[in-house]
Amino acid sequence: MRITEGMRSIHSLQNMSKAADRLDKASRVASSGYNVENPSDDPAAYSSMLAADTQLSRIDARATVLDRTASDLELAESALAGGGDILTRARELAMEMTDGTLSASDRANAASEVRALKESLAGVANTRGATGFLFAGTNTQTQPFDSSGNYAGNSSSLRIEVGDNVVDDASAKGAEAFTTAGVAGRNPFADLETLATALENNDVNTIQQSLSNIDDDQKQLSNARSDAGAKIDRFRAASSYLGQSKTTVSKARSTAIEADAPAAYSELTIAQSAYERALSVTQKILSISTNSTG
Amino acid sequence: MSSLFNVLGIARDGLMAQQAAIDVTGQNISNASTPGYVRRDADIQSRTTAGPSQGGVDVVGVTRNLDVFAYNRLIAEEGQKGSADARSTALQSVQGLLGTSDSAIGAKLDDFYASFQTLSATPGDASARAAVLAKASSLVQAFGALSGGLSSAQQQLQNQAAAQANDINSKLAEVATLNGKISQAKAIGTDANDLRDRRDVLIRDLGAGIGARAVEDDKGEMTVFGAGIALVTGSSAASLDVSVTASNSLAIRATRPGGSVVDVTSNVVDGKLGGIVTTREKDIPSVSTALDNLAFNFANSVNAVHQSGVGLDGVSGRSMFDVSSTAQGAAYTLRLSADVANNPNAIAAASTPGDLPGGSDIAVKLGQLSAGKLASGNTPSDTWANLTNDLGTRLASATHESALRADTVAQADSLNSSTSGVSIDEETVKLTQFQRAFEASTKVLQTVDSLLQGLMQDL
Repeated sequence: MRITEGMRSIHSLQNMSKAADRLDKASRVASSGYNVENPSDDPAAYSSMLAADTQLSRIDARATVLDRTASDLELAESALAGGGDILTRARELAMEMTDGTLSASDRANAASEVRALKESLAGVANTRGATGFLFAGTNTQTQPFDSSGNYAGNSSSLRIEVGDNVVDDASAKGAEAFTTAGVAGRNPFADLETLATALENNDVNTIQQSLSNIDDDQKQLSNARSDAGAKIDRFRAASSYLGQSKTTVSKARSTAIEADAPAAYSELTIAQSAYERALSVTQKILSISTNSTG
Repeated sequence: MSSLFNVLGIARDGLMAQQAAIDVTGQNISNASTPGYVRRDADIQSRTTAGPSQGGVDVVGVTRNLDVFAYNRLIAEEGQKGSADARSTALQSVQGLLGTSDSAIGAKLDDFYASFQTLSATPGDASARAAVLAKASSLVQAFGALSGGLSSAQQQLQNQAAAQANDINSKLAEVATLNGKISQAKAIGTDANDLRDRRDVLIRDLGAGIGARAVEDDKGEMTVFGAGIALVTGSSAASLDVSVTASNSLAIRATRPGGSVVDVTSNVVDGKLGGIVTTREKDIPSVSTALDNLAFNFANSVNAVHQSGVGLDGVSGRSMFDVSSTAQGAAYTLRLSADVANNPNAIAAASTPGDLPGGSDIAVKLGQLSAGKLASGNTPSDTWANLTNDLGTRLASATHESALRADTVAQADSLNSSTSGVSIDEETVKLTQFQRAFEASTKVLQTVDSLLQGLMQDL
């Protein structure tokens, strides 16, 4: 075949442009750390990355929701524990006051303590969390209990997504703990009020009856408390499972688009030396032509 | 019967022939790097005719060393390369419109759904509601920006196509003019090689511009075929005109020498113009239709759930988005509905007024739409991924095609250059050869001269 200067320059230009292209790609991969930055780099890998991004976004949002809800429930759980303590104190008082040796004035003093306890219990039942009043059902922006224990909340619940297509109630059961909607059908505020009145009236029989009512109240609170505890466990478990999923999905995302560092650097070195070779060959070829004419 | 004077004539022929050959070699060397220059050879023949200069030498012509087969292949490859280059360049900028993975519509869709998930934890919270509105309006903007970007890319391609057609028209006209000059030169027997060089350069450009095939007739006129018709016949050329139809498609019409007009749009597939047409008429519409469908199905799916819920003010039946009645153009016209824009309390998180303000089941449902299927049968993010995948695949194949064609053009160019290119080494050798022959002829002249001188003195 007849070789002309034109052919030499076509070949050198072609080889140089390929080597430059390879060097450009290798340096982009090595400096960014990504094999795939644009859809055209690898359409399938880019799609996997987008799918992983969506999953990660869902996981992050769900984890935020679970954690936020769980911390409100923790607040509710400790409030219910506090409420239980208040009822225990009221029961102790009632127990003491059934003692026949005590005078009417002793009982009247105890009555004011019971009233104070009732107010503390109202404070507990009106606890606020990040979502508003914790024991108000979904009526979270209105104080659920007034001083006499009338309920302004409802029995609905906040709903959150716990898993794919799993939606769960996420509110503490305020109505079931503090109103007659509870398992025992008792209202602790009314029961404390009855006790206080009985103490004022020096009515030992009613005081004795109050004991079992307060037991029922405690049962309602402790049921609500264990319900909150179970939810916390469930949400925390779901959140920690999400942590694992996140690791798995992130890993899949990296595998899809990230460059293997050693491979990227060795490719860069190879591409660099290939480019240098192409340059030096071109230089030689060009100098052959000029020498032959000169 | 030979005479000394006869030998003088032969020596003179030799001098002239070598001088002509040196002239051609000089042309070759000085044009070694001229684009489109085809190497010439002086055709030196010994005189065979009987007569006084019998046995002498004559330059009968100058041969242009063009391998027609290699040249036609080069033109065809240029057509393919032109198309792939134009398409890959145009799609590269379309890909740029998508944005990086964390700012694209896909990420904004994810953010939008996540904002509803977050809202489900604190449905009464003003900042969570404001976040939903912010994400929704940023998504609406992203839809509008991409859709607008795609339309303006189409507009730019239309302008490019018109400019390209003008360029092609002027080249077609020049080829036609050259055809006339070459056939005249051939008729009167003068050298038209420079005109042919120019014409071949133009035809190669036409190959890259629209995809061309050229056939030379015995008058030396080149008929140029392209876009399914004869673009140049003899000394008359067709001209192309680019316009846009009512349905926003590109129409390329050719006005043939006789004045008849023919629509060649569907035949324009090669060359830069072909690449532009393919990108504008196939690639971009595929992406923008997918985008419109996504916007349309997405907005309707969100609206359907949102309408079933109640805002903090207890009002139900509000749409989240204003969306066009059909999918066409939905991405560009998508807006936040007037009911919710600037009114975070209108966002529905609860399903009944009784659940206000802490009810969250609608917010949960809206968040779950992220994994639910749209009317198209795919999830929103899968639909977006399919759109990017479609564009990515188109661009990747155009880029691969462009790299492949760069190779094949280089190969065809090199094959062509093997015959028609100038080799300086070769020309230097020839130059020396002709120089020696010229010197030798001078020597013959001297010898005959001295013989004649001797004869004249001695006699």
